[in-house]
Amino acid sequence: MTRSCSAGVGLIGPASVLILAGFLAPTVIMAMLSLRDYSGMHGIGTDWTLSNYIDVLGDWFYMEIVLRTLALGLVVTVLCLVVGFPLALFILRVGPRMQTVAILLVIFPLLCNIVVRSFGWMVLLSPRGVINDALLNIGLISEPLDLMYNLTGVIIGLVQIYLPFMVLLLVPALQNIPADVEAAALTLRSSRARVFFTITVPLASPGIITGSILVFVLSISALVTPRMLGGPTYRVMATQIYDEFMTNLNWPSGAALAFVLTFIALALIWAANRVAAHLTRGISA
Amino acid sequence: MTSLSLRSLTKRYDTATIVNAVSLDVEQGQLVSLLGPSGCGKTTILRMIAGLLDPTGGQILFGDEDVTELPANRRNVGLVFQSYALFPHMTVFENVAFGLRRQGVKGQELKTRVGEALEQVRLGALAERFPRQLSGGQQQRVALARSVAPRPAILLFDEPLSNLDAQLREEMQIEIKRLQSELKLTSLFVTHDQHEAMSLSDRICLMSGGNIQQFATPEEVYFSPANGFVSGFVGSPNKLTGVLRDGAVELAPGLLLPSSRAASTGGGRVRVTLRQEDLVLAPQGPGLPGTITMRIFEGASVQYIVTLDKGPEVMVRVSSRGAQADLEKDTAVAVSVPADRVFVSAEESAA
Amino acid sequence: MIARKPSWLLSLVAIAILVYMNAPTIVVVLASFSDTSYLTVPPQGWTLHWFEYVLGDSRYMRAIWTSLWLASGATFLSLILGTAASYALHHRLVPFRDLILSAVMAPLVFPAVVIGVALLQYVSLLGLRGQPFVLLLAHTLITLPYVVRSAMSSLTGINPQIEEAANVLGASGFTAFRLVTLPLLKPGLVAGAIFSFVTSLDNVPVTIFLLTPRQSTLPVKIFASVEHGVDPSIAAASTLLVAGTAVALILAQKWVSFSRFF
Repeated sequence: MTRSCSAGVGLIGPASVLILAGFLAPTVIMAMLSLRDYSGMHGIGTDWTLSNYIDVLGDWFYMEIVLRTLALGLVVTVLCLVVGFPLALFILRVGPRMQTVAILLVIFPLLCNIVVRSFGWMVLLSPRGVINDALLNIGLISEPLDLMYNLTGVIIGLVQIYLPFMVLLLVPALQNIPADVEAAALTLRSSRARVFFTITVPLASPGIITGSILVFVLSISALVTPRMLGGPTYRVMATQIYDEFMTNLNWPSGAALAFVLTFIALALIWAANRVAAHLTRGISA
Repeated sequence: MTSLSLRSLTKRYDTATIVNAVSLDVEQGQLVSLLGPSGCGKTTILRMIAGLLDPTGGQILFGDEDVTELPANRRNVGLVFQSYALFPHMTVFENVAFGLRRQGVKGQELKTRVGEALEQVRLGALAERFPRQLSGGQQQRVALARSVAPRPAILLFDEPLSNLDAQLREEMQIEIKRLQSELKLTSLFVTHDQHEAMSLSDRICLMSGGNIQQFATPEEVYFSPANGFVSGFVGSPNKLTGVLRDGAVELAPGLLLPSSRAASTGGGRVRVTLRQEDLVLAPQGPGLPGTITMRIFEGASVQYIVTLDKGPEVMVRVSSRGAQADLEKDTAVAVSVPADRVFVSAEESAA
Repeated sequence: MIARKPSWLLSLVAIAILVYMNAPTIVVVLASFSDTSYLTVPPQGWTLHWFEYVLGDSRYMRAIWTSLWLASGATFLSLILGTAASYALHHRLVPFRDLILSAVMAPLVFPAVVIGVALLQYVSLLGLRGQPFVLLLAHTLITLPYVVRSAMSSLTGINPQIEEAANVLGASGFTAFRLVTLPLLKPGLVAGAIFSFVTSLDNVPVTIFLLTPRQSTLPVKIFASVEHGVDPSIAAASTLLVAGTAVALILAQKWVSFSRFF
C-alpha cells in the first residue's frame, strides 16, 4: 500500500509530540535534576554531583527502604502465587456457570479504586475495626490484633489488590497445557502430585513468570496502599519519593530514588521476558 | 471498454528487481492471463495496475490515458481478490452498492444496478445476507458482482479461485468467462494454474523472474513454446538433458531422438523437454527401448514410468480407453515421439 | 489441562479467597449506609444521609466533576491520538516503528509515582503548575497505551485487502478508513476506551503530584481525607466512585453488544 510519508507523519504526529514533550522530556530533565545537589538553605544547587545516588546506595537509611520495598514485593508475589494457584485451579475445574461467576468475582475488585479498597482494609484491620471487633466478641482474643500500620497490614492489602492480575494470568497459562501431556504422564504411573509438579507447573511457567513479574513490579511501585495501611511512618520507595518531593522538598534526592526504582522495575521486566522466551523455546504455541 | 497497455513497467526493491521493464498490450474486451510460478512478478504487476503499488519506472495506460500517477480510487478498475475481501459488517447489497455510492449513484438507480449485478452472478435472492452467512463460492460471486457493478474500464483478478475446491473452481471459471465476454470487459487474470489460464484466456502471458517469457494464444503457448521455460511449465513435462548432434538429441549413449526444433540451438549440452502426453508407447518397433517400472491409474488417463535402456526415466501419459492402457510392469516397450514435439533449449533456458 | 470436578477442599479454599478479594469493597459500601458518625460494619441504622452530605458538599462535588471531565477528556483524546498512531504504526507508515511503539507504551511500564514526580518538576520548571490542560495531558499520557494496545491488536485481525478493496472501488484514504476499517475496529476501541476511562478515574499516583491545594479528584480526595480522620462520608464518596465505574462499564457493555451486530 502506498501512502505518502506525510500521511504517516500526520497520523503519528500528535501522539509523538505528547510522548516527546510530556514523557521523554520530563524524564530527561528529571535525570539532570537527580544529579544536582540540594541543601535546606539554598535549595537546588547548580553543581553536578552523584551524591544523591551514592546516598541511595550507600546510606543505610535509604538502603533500608530499598530492601524493605524489595522484600515486600517478594513476599506479596509469593503469596499471590500461593493463594492464586488454588483459585485458578478452581476456576478451570468448575462448571461453566460457576466459572463465569467466579471470574466476575475475580474481576470485580479490579473495578474498585485502589484507594477505596485500601480504605476498606483500614476499616477491616484497624484496632477497632471489623475483624478485631468480631474476634473480640467471639472471645478468640482478649486484645485487638496489630493488623495495621505495619508490614502485616500492608501485605494483606497488597496481596488482595494484585491477586486478580495473578489469577487472570495463571488461568490461561494453565488452560493451555495440553491435557494429553498430563494424561500421558498419568498413564506412565506418575502420581497426581508428581504430574502437578513435574509437568503442570513447568508448562505453566511462562504464565507464572509473567504474573509474578507483573505483581512484583506493581508491588514495589505501590504508593497508595503502603501509605494508607502502613501509615505515614512506614517507608517504602514510592512513599519516600512522595515525601521527598512533597514534604522535604528535596527534589534531587527524590529524583535519584525515582530512577533507582525505575531501573529496578525495567531491569526485572527485561530479565523476565528473556527467561520466559527461553523457557518457551521448546514449547510450540 | 478500454485497452490496457504496460510500457516498460518496472518494480525494484533495493537490489531485487521484481518486475523487469515489462511491456504488454491487452486489446479491449480481451481476457489475458498472467501465468507463472510464485515470485515471477505477476501479482506485483496486477497491484501496480490497480494503483495499490507505485512502480519504480514505466507507464500504465488505460486506452490513451496515462494512469501511472493516479491513486487507486480514481482509476476505475475492478479487482477481485483471492480472499474475496468482502466488507463483513455490510450486507451483500451494501457490498455491491459500495462502488456505485462512491460514484454518486443513489435511490432507484442504485437499487436497479445492484440488482442487475447480483442477477448476473445469480445471487439476487441473497441481497440481505451477510458475508459470513455465505459459502466460499457465493462470497466470490458477490466479490465479482461488486467489482463489475461500477462498470470499470479494466477488470483485474488476483488468483481469485485458489481458495475453492476443484469442482467449484471449474464452475467459477465458466462463470467468469461468461460474465467477461457478456460485458466485454478488458480483463487481466493472475494465476499459477496453467489449466485455468488455458481455459479462460484469449491470450496467455507467461512470466518468470520478472520477465515475459511468451505472450500468445493458449494454442501457440502449448504447441509452440518460445523457450525452455515455457516448454517446461506448460503441459506435463519430462525434463531431461542430452547432447545435441546433427539435428538429434542424444539422451544417453545409443538413445537418439530426432528433433525438428534442434537446428535453432548450438551444439553441446542442451535441455530437452518431452511432454508426457506426446510420448507414444508400442510393444516393439522404432523408438527408444525401455521397460515399464510403474503403472498409475488416474481415471481418465493412465501414467507409466518407463526406464529407458541405459538411460533416464520418462513418464508417459495415455488415455485410459486407448490401446496402451493396460500394459503391465516389466513389459518391454519402445518409446517414440514426433520430431516437432521434442523441445530443445540451451542449458540456461529462461530468458 | 485435565478437567475434573474440584474437590470440596479446593472449593472451600477458593470461596474463602473470593471472599477475601471482595471483602474491602463490600465493607466500604456497607459502611456508607450507617447512621453513625463513625465507621462501623455492619451498619447501624440505614440511611442515605452520608450520600446527601457528599453530594451537597461543594468540595466533594468539585472533586467529582474534575474526575469526570478528566476521565472523559483523556479518553476522548486517547481515542483520537491512539487510533491515528496505531494506524500509522500498524501499516508501517513511519520509520523507527518499534521505537515509537515502545515509547508510546512506556508509561505503562514506568512506576506511576515516577511519572508523577517527573511531570511535577517539569511542569514547575515551565511555570504551568495547576493548569487544567496539564492535568488533561498527563491523564492522556497514561491512558494512551491502553487505546494503542487495543487498536493495534484489533488492526492485526482485519484483512488488509478489505481497505484495498474499498480504495479500488473509489474510496479515498480517510473515507475507506471511516466506512470500512473503523466499524470493524469499534469493539477493540470500546475496550480500550473502557480501560482508559477507568484508569483515569482511579488514578492517584500521577494526579496527586499535579494538583494544587485547591484542586482535587475524587480518589485523591478520599486518599487525603483519610489522614484527617474518617467518617462514613468517605465511605459514601467511595461507594459513589465504585457505582460510577460500574455504570460506565454497563453503558459500554451495551454499546459493544450493539456493535456486534454490524
